[in-house]
Amino acid sequence: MSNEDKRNQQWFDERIGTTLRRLDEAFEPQAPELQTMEVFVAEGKKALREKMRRDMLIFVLLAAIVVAVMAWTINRNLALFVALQALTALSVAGWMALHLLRLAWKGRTQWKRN
Amino acid sequence: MEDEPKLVQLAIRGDTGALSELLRRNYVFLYQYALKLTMDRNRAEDIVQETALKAIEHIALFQGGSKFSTWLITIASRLVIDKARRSKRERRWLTEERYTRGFRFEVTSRLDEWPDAVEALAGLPEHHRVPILLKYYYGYSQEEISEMLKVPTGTIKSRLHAGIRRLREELRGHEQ
Repeated sequence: MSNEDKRNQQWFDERIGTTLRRLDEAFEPQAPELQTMEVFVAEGKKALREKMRRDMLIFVLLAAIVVAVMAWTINRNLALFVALQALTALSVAGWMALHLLRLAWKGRTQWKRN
Repeated sequence: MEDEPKLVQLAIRGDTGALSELLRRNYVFLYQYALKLTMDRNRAEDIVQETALKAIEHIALFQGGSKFSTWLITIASRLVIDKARRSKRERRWLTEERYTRGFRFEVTSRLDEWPDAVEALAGLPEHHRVPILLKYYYGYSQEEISEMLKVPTGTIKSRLHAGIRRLREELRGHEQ
């Protein structure tokens, strides 16, 4: 720990730390009963399982629709199939470029804030 | 009563009772941390609940490399910073002012005063308040805070520097 760090720590303890400890003592809630917490955790786990099942169902349905559409176009219209493939590839590339730009912008503003 | 590492192992394996006990043991600590971050009792309770839900969701990913309480306050810190970032777009000043006023009333009624130290801390933006509390009140190192918040150590260092300078200025202003 540098000297500046030590000075800051000492200043914080004296000027702020003491008050925060009083605040902790003044706002000390009762911890919930174990049974209450068990119900909360069990319900949380149940909600997560249901969400996962729902997400999986949506994924499988979407995948089935995409495969069906692709199978239909490849049999009926090869040009349309190729166009759809190209459109998908372009959309993915566009989305990735946007995402990278957003990340770069976020990094720039974060740097400015500091 | 089981010790923490044993409970963590059981919780990772899916034991509801073990995870409940861990969350119960850390409830007061987590609430008090969230209260200092949010300066509002309702928001602190929301943060505690959301942190617990995240812990339930991600317990299998917890490596056990740190204390369970450290993992919980890492989740809570990220939640608070994310929420602050999002609410920035939604007329933040008005809501912040209202929250602090409510908390001010409660603190004044319990401590018989509204301490300058709390006022100064409440004036800091979340991305300064969080590292200041973690370092100077909870004793984490800059490297640990950097890992907890997923922010480079240099950034943490500058936030700590800026935060402590602002606190000093605020408190000097109050003295004058």
